Amino acid sequence: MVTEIKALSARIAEAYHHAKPLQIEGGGSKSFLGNPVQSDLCESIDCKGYAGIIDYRKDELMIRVKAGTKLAEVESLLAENGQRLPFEPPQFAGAATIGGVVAAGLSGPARPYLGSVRDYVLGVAFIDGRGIAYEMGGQVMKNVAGYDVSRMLVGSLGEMGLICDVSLKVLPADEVSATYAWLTSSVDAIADFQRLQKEGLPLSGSAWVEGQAFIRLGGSRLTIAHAAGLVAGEKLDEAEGVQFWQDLKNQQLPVFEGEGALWRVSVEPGSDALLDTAQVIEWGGGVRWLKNPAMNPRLASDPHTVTLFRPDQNEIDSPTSTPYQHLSGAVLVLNQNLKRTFDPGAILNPGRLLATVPEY
Amino acid sequence: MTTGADQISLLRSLTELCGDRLITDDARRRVYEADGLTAKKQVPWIVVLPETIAEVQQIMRLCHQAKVPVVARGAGTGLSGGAMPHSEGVLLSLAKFNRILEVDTDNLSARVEPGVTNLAISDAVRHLGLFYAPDPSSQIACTIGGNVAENSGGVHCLKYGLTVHNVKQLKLVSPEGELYEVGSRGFDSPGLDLLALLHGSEGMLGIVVEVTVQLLPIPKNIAVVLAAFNSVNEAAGTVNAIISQGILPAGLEMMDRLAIKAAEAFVNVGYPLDAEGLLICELDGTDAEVQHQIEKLRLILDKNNAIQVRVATDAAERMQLWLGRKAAFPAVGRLAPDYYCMDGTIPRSELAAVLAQITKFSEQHGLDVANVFHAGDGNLHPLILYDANKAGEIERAEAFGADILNLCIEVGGTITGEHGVGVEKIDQMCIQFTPEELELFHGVKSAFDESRILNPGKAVPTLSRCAEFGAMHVHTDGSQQTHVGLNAQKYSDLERF
Repeated sequence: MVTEIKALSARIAEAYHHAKPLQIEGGGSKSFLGNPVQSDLCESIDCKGYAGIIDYRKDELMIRVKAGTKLAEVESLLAENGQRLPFEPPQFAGAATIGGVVAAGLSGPARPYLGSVRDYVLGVAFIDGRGIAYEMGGQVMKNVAGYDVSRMLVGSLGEMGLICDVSLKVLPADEVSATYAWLTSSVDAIADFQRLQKEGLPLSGSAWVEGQAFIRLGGSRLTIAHAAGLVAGEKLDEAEGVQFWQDLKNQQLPVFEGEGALWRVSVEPGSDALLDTAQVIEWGGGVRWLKNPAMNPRLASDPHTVTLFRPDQNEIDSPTSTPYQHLSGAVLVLNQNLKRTFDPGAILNPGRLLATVPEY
Repeated sequence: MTTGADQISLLRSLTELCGDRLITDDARRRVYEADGLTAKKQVPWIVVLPETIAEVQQIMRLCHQAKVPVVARGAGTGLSGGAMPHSEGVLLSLAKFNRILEVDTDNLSARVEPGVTNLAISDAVRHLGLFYAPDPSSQIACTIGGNVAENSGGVHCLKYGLTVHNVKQLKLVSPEGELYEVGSRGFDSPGLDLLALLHGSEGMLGIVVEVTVQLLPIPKNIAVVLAAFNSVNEAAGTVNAIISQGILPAGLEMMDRLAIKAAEAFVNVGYPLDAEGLLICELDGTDAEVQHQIEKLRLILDKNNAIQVRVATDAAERMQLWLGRKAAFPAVGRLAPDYYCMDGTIPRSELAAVLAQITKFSEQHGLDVANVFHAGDGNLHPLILYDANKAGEIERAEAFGADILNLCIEVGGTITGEHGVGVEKIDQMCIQFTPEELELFHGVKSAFDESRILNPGKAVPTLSRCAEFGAMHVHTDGSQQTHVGLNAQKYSDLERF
């Protein structure tokens, strides 16, 4: 075991022994995400120092990276080699680390067409809440030995373990990508996105922002030239297109700015829920963003996954401002049981994802 | 263990519940004694064939109460004994859950029961221009519930992913009989990603009673390119060249000389008999995309000394080129009375070295081996040829297989890419994972199934079993060895590739 991992293991084992909760920190770019961990009770532990590329096998479409490595560094290395992370995780303020990308599990515009962070995770080395180190999954594309713990860690917000390194599948970069925009209603935009997808167009992004639909096509020069004939919208200047998708995934478009709560509602793409109130729609219709809605979107009748992505700073203590909806029944019990298995002392980022986990 | 009185009482309750869909007689129980791994047989105590989710819930409640093991079974085509019954347990067949409940052409999804066959999904949506991507070779018979349990792959998973990448939502029954859902029909779902964890869990964590799969538009155009090489090294090197130069084939398969010869003798499709290695590469996409990729691929093949290249764009020709590959398992099966199919995955860069080492093992063990595999994924299927009726050949085949699996672990790969651990590779789990990692797996199992009634004894070895396995390797008399995995192939009419 490498020295750094040993040291991190020892640190967690000690915290477990003394029942001292730890707050896991990476680049801090997503510190707004999830339930607040009571940081006054926690010491912090970070693996920013554990950074660097362990292995990059271009012709295997695989990269293994230490958790503290900057996302930007990984993306630029891949770009130099004509490859990319297809799930396009948000950068936010630019400090994002790979460990944080996996722990948060947030994906970008290509998600409905190319898959999510967890779809590209091949393996994860991590330390559990007792200080025991594991390597789960591996560096190969197909692996069904043992339970798929590494994919389960994606999006667990540090509650199941401290991620030490991650092996990811990468894909060849698109030769070109092109963005098209047109004015339309949200209903028609979603119908267009679904029609274009069914026609087999090489979509790599789709969004509707306050009356305007956007799609991005990605592939070879030839493919894009051919596909362009099937799209009605106006082609955006290349730099403008790149900027738009970046601002969208980082929630930096003007519509996201200003005070107030930002809600993220995940629905079946064709659903008509909240179409009147969503200012931004992406993922082919599957995600709807509501900035300062008049009504709490959790009160909508259909069962959706509703996340209070960024709470209103003035209402942070209000009972309606919990980031995640409550789990119930067997799913709640399973989440609690797994937390107990991976972190029996409940010392890792306690409550950040699973706020409903009772004291034990 | 249950007492006789408990058994009688459970039997009475199950009879009330399922009537003639409860099987207790010897002859009909024997039908279920093995899955595709016929070397491991066990007649179940009883078999039940529930028809509704409520029945599954009630069966689980009753069995949970009586602490009777339950083994779920789809079509029983698995190759690692994952559905091998328990002698004192209930074999829960989901065969009657065979309806496609809903096809949603707007959201490109289908909600199906677990006993629906893999191919039936694609068949049901083909007229809509859609398909379900994962296509394990047994797709005509294997069920979607079994695919979830094994996280099945197939020829096209290099581009389209495994089952876990193509399922949106599952409905399950817990060991206690509670019905619950994981995943969502959208993209987010709250809490931990249980959907990912349940894929490939081999019936150890819950009973899948409904599956919502993602459908995809059928590609506009498909081409198959066949390329022959003078050496396995050149063929393996070409696999890496294709992928590193930005082509992502829908499928990329490789065969070695023995497999080529066997396939050609069997189906006569014009494979070059002088070749040492053969690649079959499927490209798909829009017309323009496929044309572009064919041109790019031709350049790579020329540069890598392909001695013959054939391109098929129409359906009949494509099928012709695939036929030999798809018939490779039965074709190789004709070369010897028995064969043992391995399933290790390795980093592709190790392909040439691993194949060379497998040839050395073949000489050491005195048994022939044919190599047929999903080269794009690095998923090997070496077929070890032996004759079970010749003294010592089973043991040699088994030792040869163990050498291959250990080699896969050594070069950074895994003991199973797509067939699962089941009972077949349970001892190799002791080599691939540390005791702490195995303990964590047991912890995951307990989180879902504290009373351990679901498929007990499969997939994850106990530490004491590992200790025993270690000891077994010290003693060379072989008397304790269980002959797992030796493959008198069941369902010989099923394609296997």
